[in-house]
Amino acid sequence: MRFIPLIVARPEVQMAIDEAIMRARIEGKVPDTVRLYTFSPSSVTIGRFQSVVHDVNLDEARKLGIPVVRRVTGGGSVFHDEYGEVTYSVVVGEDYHPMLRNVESSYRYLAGPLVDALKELGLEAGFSGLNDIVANGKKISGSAQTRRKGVILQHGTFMYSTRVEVLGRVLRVSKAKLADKGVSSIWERVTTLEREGINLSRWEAYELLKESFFSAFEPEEGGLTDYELELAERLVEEKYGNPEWNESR
Amino acid sequence: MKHHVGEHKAKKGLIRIEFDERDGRAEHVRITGDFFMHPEEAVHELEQKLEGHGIDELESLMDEFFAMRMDIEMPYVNIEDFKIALKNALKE
Repeated sequence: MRFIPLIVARPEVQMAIDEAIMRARIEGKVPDTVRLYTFSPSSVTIGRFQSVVHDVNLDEARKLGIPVVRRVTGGGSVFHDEYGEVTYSVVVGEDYHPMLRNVESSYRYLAGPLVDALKELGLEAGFSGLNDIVANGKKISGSAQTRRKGVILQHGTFMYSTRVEVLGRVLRVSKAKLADKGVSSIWERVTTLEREGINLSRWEAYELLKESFFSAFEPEEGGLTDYELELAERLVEEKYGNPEWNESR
Repeated sequence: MKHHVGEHKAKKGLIRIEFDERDGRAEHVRITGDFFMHPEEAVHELEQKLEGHGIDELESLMDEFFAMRMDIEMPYVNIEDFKIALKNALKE
C-alpha cells in the first residue's frame, strides 16, 4: 500500500485526486493507496445524491467564501474546516482483506485507524450506525464510500477543532434526521477533539492519524503519478470544478 | 401544476422525492438525500423510470425497477423506504 503525505488544496482538487486514484487503481496502474488531506479554503462537500437547495445554505456559504463541491460518494454534507479537520481517503481492492467484502464491516476496517487514534488520546471511541465514529457519545467523524469494479474508495472526516457554529450555519440538516438521532440541533450531536478538551494543531492531528494508518496498513510513502495528476486535472475541469456536476441536484 | 416533496428517514439516510404534477403525471422527478446506493447511476435511472408517468403508477414502477436490478446495493435502506418517501410526497 502507498501513503501519500498531506495535500492542502481546494475541494474540487481533493475530490478529483480521490477519483483519479480510484480510476488508476481500477486500471491496475497504481497500488492500493491511503492519503490524508485538508481543504483550503474551508469547504463543504455534499453527498452524490444531495440537493444543493435543500441540504446546504448556499447564501451563508457564499457569504463566508466557502465553496461547495459534490462528492462521487453518497452520504451527507460535510463542513471541512481548514484548520479544524483532516480528511482521510483509502482506495483499496475488495480482495485486500475479507472484511472489505461486506459494506458495514468495510467501513469499520478502513476507518479503524481513526478509532485507534481517538483511543490513543484517551477518549471513549467507537463506531455508530453504518459509517459514523463517536467520541464520548458524539459524532466526531463520518465516512462515505463508493465501489466500482472491485475497488473501494472510502473517505471521511476527523474533526479536531472544527468550528461547529460555522458548520451549523452552512449545512441544512432536516428535522426528520435530527429527530431520528434524538437531538434538536446539530450542536448536540457533533463534537471535536477541542470540545473534548484535547487541543491539537493541524500538524499534530495529521501526525496522529498518519501514525495510526501506518500501524494498521504498513504503507510505504510515495507520491501521485503523472497519470493520476493528469486525470485529476481533467476531472477538476470537467467535473468537480463545474457547476453542471456540483449543482446537478 | 403542483409541486410535491416527500421525505422519509430510513435507517441510514434521508430519502427525498420531489416532482411536479401536471395533468396527473409526474414531471421533473428528483430523488435526493444522504443515503447510499451503489452503483450511484441507479438513482438517475430510477428517476427516469418514473418520469412522465401517472402519479398512481409510480409505486408499482418503483417495485418493477428494484425487482429488475439485482446489482443495486443500498446499505441500511430498503425499497419500502423509497415507497414511504413517495407516499409522503403524494400526501402533500
